[in-house]
Amino acid sequence: MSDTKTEVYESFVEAIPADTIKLETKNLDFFYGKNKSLHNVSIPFQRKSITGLIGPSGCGKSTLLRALNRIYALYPGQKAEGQILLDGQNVLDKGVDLSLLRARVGMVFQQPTPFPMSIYDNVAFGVRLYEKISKADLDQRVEDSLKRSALWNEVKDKLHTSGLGLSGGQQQRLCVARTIAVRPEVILLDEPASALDPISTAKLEETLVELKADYTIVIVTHNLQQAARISDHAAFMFLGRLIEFAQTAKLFDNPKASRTADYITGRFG
Amino acid sequence: MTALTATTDERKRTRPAGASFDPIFLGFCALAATLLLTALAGIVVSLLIGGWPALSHFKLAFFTSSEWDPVKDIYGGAGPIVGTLITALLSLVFALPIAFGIAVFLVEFCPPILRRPIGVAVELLAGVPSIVYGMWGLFVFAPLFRDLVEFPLITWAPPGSIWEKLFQGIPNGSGILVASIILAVMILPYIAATLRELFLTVPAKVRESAYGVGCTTVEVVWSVTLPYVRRSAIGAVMLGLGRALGETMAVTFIIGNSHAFPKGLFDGGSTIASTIANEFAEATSDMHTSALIALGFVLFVITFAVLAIARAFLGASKHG
Amino acid sequence: MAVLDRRSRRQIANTAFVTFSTVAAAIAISALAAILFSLLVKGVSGLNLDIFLLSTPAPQSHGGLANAIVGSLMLCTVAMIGAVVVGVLAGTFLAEYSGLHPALNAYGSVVRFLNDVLLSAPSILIGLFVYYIAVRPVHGFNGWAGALALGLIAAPVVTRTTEDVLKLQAKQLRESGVALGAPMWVTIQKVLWRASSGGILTGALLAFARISGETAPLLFTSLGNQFMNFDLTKPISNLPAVIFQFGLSAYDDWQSLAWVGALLIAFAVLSINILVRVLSQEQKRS
Repeated sequence: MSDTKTEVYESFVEAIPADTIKLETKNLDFFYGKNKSLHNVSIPFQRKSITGLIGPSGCGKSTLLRALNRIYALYPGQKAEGQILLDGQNVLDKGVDLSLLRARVGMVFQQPTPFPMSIYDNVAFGVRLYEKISKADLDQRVEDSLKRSALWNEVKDKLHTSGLGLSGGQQQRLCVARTIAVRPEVILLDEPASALDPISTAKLEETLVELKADYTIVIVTHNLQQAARISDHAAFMFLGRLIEFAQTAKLFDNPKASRTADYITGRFG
Repeated sequence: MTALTATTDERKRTRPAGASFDPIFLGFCALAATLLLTALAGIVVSLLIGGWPALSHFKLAFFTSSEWDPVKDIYGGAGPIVGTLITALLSLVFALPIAFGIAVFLVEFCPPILRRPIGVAVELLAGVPSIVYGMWGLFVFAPLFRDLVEFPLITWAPPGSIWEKLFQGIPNGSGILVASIILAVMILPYIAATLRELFLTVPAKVRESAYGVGCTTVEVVWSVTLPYVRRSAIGAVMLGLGRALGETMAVTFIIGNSHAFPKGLFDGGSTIASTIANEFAEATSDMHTSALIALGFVLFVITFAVLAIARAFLGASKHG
Repeated sequence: MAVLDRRSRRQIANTAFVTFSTVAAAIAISALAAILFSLLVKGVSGLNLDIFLLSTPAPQSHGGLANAIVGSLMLCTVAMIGAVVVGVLAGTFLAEYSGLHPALNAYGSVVRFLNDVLLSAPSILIGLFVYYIAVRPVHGFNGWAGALALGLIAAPVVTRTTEDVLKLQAKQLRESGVALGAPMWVTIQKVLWRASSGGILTGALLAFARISGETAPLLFTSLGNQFMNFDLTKPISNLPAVIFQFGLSAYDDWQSLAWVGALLIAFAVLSINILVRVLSQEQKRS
């Protein structure tokens, strides 16, 4: 176990074996214009497991998530400095193909965003971008994706109806299916259940736990119980800094940083 | 199931189809935007070039003299210019209170069942094409106005009084005043609709607390709603003014088409738009054509100034 | 004379104001009712099948408005095709691309402002401009010039509504497309345009309604034609120009035809406006 103390903020990062790291940031800074919103964040994400990013509003967890697939590039004035290593290669380098990066690192958003097209076309959308496969293979891929997102049984008879006709929870699982259809390696989720009712949330959480067998999953969540339920590792952030990173059970039962303890026990946030 | 979990090497991925088309598509979009810019620039340039002979020949007299004589090839545009300004401003004077009243009515005390139909009626009024206003104005409104308003007023006006001067002119139902009234009916739906939207942006809590303190409706509107939207309201009014300045067909039908300065409210007059509409196709000489285009240029400058001011007040996001 | 106390004065002021506002609303309704009533009374009497079968007649002879109706439809349709292509692309530029870079942003602001100016510019001036670039050089009035003039009036409307409706789409919808690795233009075309299609359609309908009633820009571009003509390289008849010419004439039968034309245009425009309202309600519901 290593701990590094910065000037004002303590930081406790539990190391994980180097050969299990799929994605990691090293000394990551992030700027909105002149405002620095991430300070020197170095965090590892273990492959085929779920890492939860927790912390109070404004702590930078969404900013960190959005740096990982460089979706921030859509907005001029937002800038990341440092390293984000995917399988050892820095995705912040010039000349990195953003489309292919995003095919490897998928993202599901807070609000379900089904595309205005049929369920089938939604799931096939990403696949058609990258691969020329036969209709039969595409049908199979769509079916597999929907099965893995626990949506197949509910929609198999209406694949060609609009995705907008589904309920909120179903739409969100459709977004998950759409994302995994392109066979990514990492899935990023930004508070995916915050707009869903408890039953849909439970279904979504079940799906994520099953998916971790094959994908590296990073989930930002406001809901501490959710983080405790489904994540293997948890990272607590505060004011743009990584305060503590450890296995979930350890972080929740025995937090090393006092701030972590305060947050988990509800003293603030 | 394994198809979804192939390792990195097995995943055969090409760059998305058409990724290189992105800059081209951006180019098309920018081109379309530039086309609009070019059109506007073209309008200004062509008006200036076409009108230059007349402007440089008559210089200041173009704006001050109302002598418009195609036979002698002398053109002074003061008549149409003044006519444009008078009718537009008069129409605003008539339209503004009514539009304001409509907006207040719809927001403050219209019974909920009537709210939609009346709102729709106002919007439909905005959609009526100006040539329909022209027909209606000339054939329906003018005779009524002549019989119910002009004749009585002219016979009543005491000789030698200011009223007599104000109401002079041939009582045939056309003229400056009637044109202004028709214009007012045309622009009031726009102003009413925009004011209503603006009034609806005042947060309900603010209005409710004013009522809660015991203000009457007029006090709430005057002291709370209006100050809240004052800037944008001015912008909305200016947009209405801009529309009135450029209106052609309704005015052409009803204004009487005289180039002289109107001396009374019932006198005929002309506006820049009506003059161009009436004379362009049969302009007798190159100077005549140039004078008409110069008038067009003047109209454009006035309208542009009004629109720019309106934009400044409305803020960049409000629509016209 | 009893001095009215403060409270009564306020009450009176309020009552006067309320009365005034109600009267104002009544004025608006009566104006619309009066116009529609006149149109119906004067226009319906001249309505018969010949209106749609025969072309405009010489004075004092029997005829219809067929060539004017066909001409107007042709001009407006051609104008709208151009206006929609230019307007949707320009609106897309303003909504999606101008945010990508400070230079594009500045350019976008200029375009947006000048688009609004073009939108509110007096249509007769647009007619003058098109006269210079599309009539003078070919030494003759022609339908293409008229369509161009109408297109220049409609395009800013479509640009405006396209930009507004695209901006209404949730940011995350756009990000979802991009997060899958889709190129920007694919996200725009397959996701954003589809999601905004309802709003874009209503914008196009409103623009169509607007130009179908426009007279001034056609006066010196497509002029008019006494006969049926499908050739846009020649002058072509259109309803507003016919109404203008016939309405201001001294002949009764011409004036009667002018009223029928006015009724037809007003009916078309009002129907489109109502259709747009209905479509907007349905869109809000879904």
